[in-house]
Amino acid sequence: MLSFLQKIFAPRPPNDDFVLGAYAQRSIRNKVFACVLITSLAALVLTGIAMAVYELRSYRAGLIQDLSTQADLIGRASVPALQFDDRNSARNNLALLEVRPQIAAAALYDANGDLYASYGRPLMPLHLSTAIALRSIESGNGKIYLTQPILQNSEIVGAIRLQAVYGFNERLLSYVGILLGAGSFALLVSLFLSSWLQAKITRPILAVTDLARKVVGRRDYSLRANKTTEDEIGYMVDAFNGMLTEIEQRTKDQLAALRESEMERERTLYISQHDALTGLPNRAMFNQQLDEVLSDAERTAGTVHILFIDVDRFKEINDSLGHYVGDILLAAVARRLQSHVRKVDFVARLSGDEFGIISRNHGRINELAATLVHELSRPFSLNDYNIATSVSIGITCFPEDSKQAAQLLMNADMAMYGAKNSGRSNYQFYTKDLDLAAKRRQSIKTGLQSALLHDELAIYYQPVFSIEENVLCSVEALVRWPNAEIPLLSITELVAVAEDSGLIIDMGTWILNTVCKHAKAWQQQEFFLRVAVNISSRQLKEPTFINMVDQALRDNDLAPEYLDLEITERVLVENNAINRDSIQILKSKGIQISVDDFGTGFSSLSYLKNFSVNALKIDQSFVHGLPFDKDDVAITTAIISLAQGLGINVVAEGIENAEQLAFLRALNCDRGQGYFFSQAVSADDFMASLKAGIWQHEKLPQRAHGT
Amino acid sequence: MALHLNSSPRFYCVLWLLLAHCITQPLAYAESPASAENQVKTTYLCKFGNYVHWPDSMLANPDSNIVIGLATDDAAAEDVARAARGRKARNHALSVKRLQPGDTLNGIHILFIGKSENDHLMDWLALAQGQPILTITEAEQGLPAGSIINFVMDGNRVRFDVSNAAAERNKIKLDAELLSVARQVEGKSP
Repeated sequence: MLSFLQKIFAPRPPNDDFVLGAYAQRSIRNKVFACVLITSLAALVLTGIAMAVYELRSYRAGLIQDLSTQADLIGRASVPALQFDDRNSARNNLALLEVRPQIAAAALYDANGDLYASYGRPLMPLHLSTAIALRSIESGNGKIYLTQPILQNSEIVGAIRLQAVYGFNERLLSYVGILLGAGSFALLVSLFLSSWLQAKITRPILAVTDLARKVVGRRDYSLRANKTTEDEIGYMVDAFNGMLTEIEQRTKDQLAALRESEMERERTLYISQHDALTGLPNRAMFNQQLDEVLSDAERTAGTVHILFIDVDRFKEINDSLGHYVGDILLAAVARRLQSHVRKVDFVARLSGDEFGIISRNHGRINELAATLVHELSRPFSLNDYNIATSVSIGITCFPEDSKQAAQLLMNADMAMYGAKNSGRSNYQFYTKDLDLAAKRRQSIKTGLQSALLHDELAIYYQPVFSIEENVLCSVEALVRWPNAEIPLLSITELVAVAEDSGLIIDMGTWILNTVCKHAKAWQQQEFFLRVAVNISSRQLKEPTFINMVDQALRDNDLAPEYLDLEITERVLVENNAINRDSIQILKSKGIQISVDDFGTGFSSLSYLKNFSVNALKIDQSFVHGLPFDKDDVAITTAIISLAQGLGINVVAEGIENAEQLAFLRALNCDRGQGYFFSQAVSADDFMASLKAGIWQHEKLPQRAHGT
Repeated sequence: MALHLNSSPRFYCVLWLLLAHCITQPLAYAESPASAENQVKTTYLCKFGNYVHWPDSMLANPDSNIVIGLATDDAAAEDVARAARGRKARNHALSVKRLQPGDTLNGIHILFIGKSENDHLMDWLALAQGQPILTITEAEQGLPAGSIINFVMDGNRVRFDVSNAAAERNKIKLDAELLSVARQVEGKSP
């Protein structure tokens, strides 16, 4: 009890907001107890004081009343004693007061105010002469004096004076005692009351506090406070639960949002690492996977094979059948690739029609490569199309070929090029030779770039003659790189590199411009010759190609009739809309179109009808065996008769001797070109020869561009 | 009569006597115990009426006086008359009546038989016998003679004896308080 009280009333250490703090820091339980205690004590003390005052006053009044009664009685009884002067009787009367212990003393006075008889402790002598007729009450020092006259027949016969012990202090003490006893009882009741109130008020609050602590500790917002009452605490519990519901909902929302954003991130990551078309990992992920696999293989001394797979002629398929079919094909290729590798092998789409496989510790990589080549050469049935394609695969091996990922990728790429160059639909392992070939290609490419930049290429011209009349009728422009530092560089190799690298566009533009300039120069010397220029399929597909041709003609003020564009049979066979449209436009402008290397391409001849070209050029490989090789004879004869049937010119290439010429003449072949007539010569030499009049030449009508 | 002060020659005579008495009286009291005794008895005489209950017929009218019949000498009678003047007993005014031998006791409430009449004590008592009259004597044989109250000297104090039996005979009732201050009470107390 005492420690409890000390807890309640113990002074608090001073702080900044002590005034608030001292009260605010106490628990409600203590506050309630203090309230109950203070209230009950205050009520008790006030009531006690009021009761004491009332009680003392009524006691005093009662005492005075009693004194008064006694004074009346004794006084009346004493009248005869006073009248007949009987002191004994008077004393006897006073002695009756013995039964009244509170009356300590009494005195009887005669009519003169002189003391007549007394009882108990002698009273202070009192002269009643002035006061005898008046009733008086004096009190003080714990005593009350009542003095009253004794009358008979309204005549004063004497006076009586009584002294009573007031007993105030004793009474007060007893009251204090009662008060203390009641106070202790009140304290006990307060304790019970406060613990009861605590049960009613503090406990629910503490329960809510505990719950709040639990919620914070466990982060469990599904907990709810138990509502036991419908009062303010009930409202508080409702509000608290409402708050928890709100927090729970918000937390759920946040978690959902978090999960959503995580999924979004994963989706983004997946998208960033995968190819949307095939669903395979993309090049970025391929590189990442390669790094991981390599470092792992390095640790475990394993082997890793990297396969580079390129779909052969995909561009042609894409161009001829449309992107949509191309896309489905790629997806099908991806599926077929994946279905033939082990589960542990990693297949990715690197770019366009290029796929990559990372295969670890594969004992029979040859078999895998062979299987893939074989499986992918089976036709695909896609959307009513039956597409035959194939793949070229380059393979490199870690750690045999290199330990560097970048180098391995280059190796695989080179091996794949090797496979392509070896006729496609096969696989090749990386070798040092491939490396050399790649380096050579690279140096050709950089050399060509430089040559284009510094105008180091040259155009040579090979005249084309009318076989019947042996007159110069046109000329074929051939590109030469006179000062090339690449040993044994053939023009075929140069064009192949130019086509691969895309330099063919710039080179073609340069050639066409130069040729047009030369042709114009000849015309200015009165030599009106048609000049043939070889066009690669890549050039033809360039959207700006027709503009480029127009521009070259316009710049050099050359009429389109003097330009003959030689396009290989393969380009025509591709039979796609772009090629067909481009050729039609060029033809409509008056430009001649010839089919180069005729007979080496596909066996379909329908394109001849579709394109209605101006001339066919018999490939020199057929001319070479004339007149003795039966196949060549048969083919050449067939081509010439075909051309004649279609009513178009035919030109035999690579005529090297008189026998060939005689045979061709016998077959009524229109024109021919080759060493027998003239090898290709520089533009200057060609001009000089023209001027020198070495060749008779057929004159075309003079026409300027646009006229 | 000294009490009737409306005739002028007598008035002056009485006035002189009163003055003389007033001058000489204190000296007389101081010097004469008999005088002091008479004084006390006079006072007592005026007060007995308070302790006596007469039959209702005796004091039917509130205005009727309590009449003290005085069978005594002149001096004593005058003293009593003076002392009773203006006084009351039981809220009835007191009055005195001088009695001479042969007078009837009609209208008398209290009969005082002084020493001077002790020779005729029996006569006076016989006259009052059976009457509702408080008889007061100052004779040695007062009570045996049939008196209700008899003055006695107890040392130099004036006291009295009471006969309850005599009071009963006269059909009056005495207060117990009176009895309590009496020197002796004869007969049973009420």
